[in-house]
Amino acid sequence: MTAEARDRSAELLPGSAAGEDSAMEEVEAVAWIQSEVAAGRRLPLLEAEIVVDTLFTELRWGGKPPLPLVPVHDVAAFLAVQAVNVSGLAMALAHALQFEHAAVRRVGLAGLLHDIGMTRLSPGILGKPGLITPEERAEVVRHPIEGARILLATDVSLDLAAVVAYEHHLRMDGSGYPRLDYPRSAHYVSRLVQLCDVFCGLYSPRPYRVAWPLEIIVSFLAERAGFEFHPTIASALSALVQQGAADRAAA
Amino acid sequence: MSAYGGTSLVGAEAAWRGLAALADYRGGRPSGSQLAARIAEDATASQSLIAIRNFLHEILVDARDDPGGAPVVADASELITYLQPTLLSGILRAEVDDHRRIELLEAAAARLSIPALLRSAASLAAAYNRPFPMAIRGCLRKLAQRALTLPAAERMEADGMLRSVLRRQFTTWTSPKRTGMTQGFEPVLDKLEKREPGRAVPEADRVVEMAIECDSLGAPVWVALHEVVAEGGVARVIDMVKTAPEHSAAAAAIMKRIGTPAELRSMLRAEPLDGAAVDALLRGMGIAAANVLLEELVESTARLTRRYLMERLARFGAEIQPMVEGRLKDQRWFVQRNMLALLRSARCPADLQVAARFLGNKDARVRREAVLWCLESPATRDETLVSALADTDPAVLRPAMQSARSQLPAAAVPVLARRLLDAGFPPEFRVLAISLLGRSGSILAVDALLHFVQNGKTLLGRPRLAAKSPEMLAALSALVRGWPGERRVLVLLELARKSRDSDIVAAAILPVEEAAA
Repeated sequence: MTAEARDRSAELLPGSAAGEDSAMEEVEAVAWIQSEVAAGRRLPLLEAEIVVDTLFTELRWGGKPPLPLVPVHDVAAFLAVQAVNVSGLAMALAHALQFEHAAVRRVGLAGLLHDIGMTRLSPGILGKPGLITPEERAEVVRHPIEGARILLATDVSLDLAAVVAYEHHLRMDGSGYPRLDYPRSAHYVSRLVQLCDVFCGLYSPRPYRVAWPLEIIVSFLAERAGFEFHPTIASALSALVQQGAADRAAA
Repeated sequence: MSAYGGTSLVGAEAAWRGLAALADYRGGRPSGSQLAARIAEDATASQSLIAIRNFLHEILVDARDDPGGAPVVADASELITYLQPTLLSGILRAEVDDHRRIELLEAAAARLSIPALLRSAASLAAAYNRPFPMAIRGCLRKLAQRALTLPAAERMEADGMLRSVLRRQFTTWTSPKRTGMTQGFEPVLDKLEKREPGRAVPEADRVVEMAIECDSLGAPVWVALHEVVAEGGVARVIDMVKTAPEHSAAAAAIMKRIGTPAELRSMLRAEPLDGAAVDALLRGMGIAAANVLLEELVESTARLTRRYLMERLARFGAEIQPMVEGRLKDQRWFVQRNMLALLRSARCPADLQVAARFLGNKDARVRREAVLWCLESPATRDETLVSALADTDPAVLRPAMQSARSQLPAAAVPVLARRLLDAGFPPEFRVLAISLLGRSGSILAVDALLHFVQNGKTLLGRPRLAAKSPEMLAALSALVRGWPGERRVLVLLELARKSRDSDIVAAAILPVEEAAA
């Protein structure tokens, strides 16, 4: 990340000891949005945009750092928490990478909705302790396709969100899923959201493991940069979260 | 003179005074909270929802350019903040005219104070029975807090974000129907604003590829497709569709969208012809492509293209018959020939009323195709065969002779017998014609066959055998099989059996197995 980008990041994310639960309204709102989609109803797009706008204003003017992320209180809220965390972190990262404000919000919306296909999983798969069966695995692997379908059917403005939902499990080396019929590399924003998704996943505890320490995650990202993750974005993310942690410590 | 209380006020202030008069407020100019309290007390005013709504419309919409309107808007905001929730819901729902309702709500979103705006949002959600979870209200409160507390320069931006989402929320809740953006191509394009390229805007090709891969459609796909086509990328889209699964609904729908007659025509005129690409386009267009294909079949000078077109048109089957028959009116021989050939290859049922004028056409190439078409249908075969056997052109005669091999109708026997004796009858068909006549069993064939076996009479008046020839041997063989007991035949057969030429003898003897049978 360039010095200028770091400055912009600092402008967006001045360190503070903002309360960990300060995004609970957003989490609850996202849980409601996800429940609407899970019930087969139309995605409440405007409400999703309200959540993104709220996160954006909190990031921009609320002095809220990217760390700590909203903690996972229970498995039922996991999807919503992950969506809020990824959205917020993706916006912070996009801003650090010098995206314009309108683009930052589009990235935030894509981050918020990247796993919306998970709402179509059979009950019980999400948060299941232990290994999932091959059939359950097949369902999980389909969630990018389901997500893209939901978003394509919702509104013209969701082109980026649909692409990100579809591509966020594709890796730099061509592995990952879903299988592409037309060989192409994932969109830049898909790679950005992918990194935020991985970071937030590792930074949060799971039923089968504890949360990873920040330093370990940063090493993990660095090791895989270039063949699994986009190297420039991975580097920018590491710098951003380390800066956030330092700001918190100083506060 | 204003209608409101006999004052000379105009614009927003006049509307405010009118509202006070409606509520029978008698304490001078009321504040928003005072007027709200008075409306709550006054049964007439609280039931005059449409009147109150109209005054608010005047203040917020009609008098929006009133330079002195800002204090009145502040009063109106306060009024809304203090009005009873049920009363506010009623007022906001009171307008039946969609345009006026949306006009008021947009003005409210732009001009009311933020507390009044949040109050209106909650009332509207209740009035229109829209889900509005507490968590979303919490998010809006956060946005509102920023819009109220940030320093002036930043407050404007936060204020704009809040008003923007609420304005869209209001119109979404109260619009009589959805926008239809996901329902089809045209509604989307009507509203389309060109996407500005940017880091957070996916490439149009990517969106289309993704749509095909996950077999899904929607407004973003149509917009992206429109962009690709507009920049001349139809070939790219077709390449994508070519590799799509055969039953992909998304691929079919995309091809249907881009499969326009103009596009198809342009692709058919390209050199060299990309058959696979055109096939992909045709899959999407279906029978709608037939007329363009026919036009190009008529006009194309490239033999390979014409062959391709014939083959693809034939795949439509009998569905294209009316279109093809319509083009038979074209007087050019090659058009008529191609259309008749197409009718045959598309397995269209032959129609003698249509074909009759072509069976007698002056151009043998046209007659030949008409014959080929009509010979394939049992209903028209025999009549066509009779006509074709009389044709002087070998190209027409040939298919008729080949068809006659399977069965020679009785009506064709005298025609063929007459042709056989015609000096102009092509020698290549003589042996076959003799064989066909021999198998017919008709007595009408005998004279023609004898013609090839007998060469006049001797001085003593006895019949004389003709010189040996393939025709003579074939006729002899036909006669021994068909009419061995006929007097004139019997004499010649006896002569032949005494011949010193073993071929002639063999031809005059019925093989043992046939005799036994």
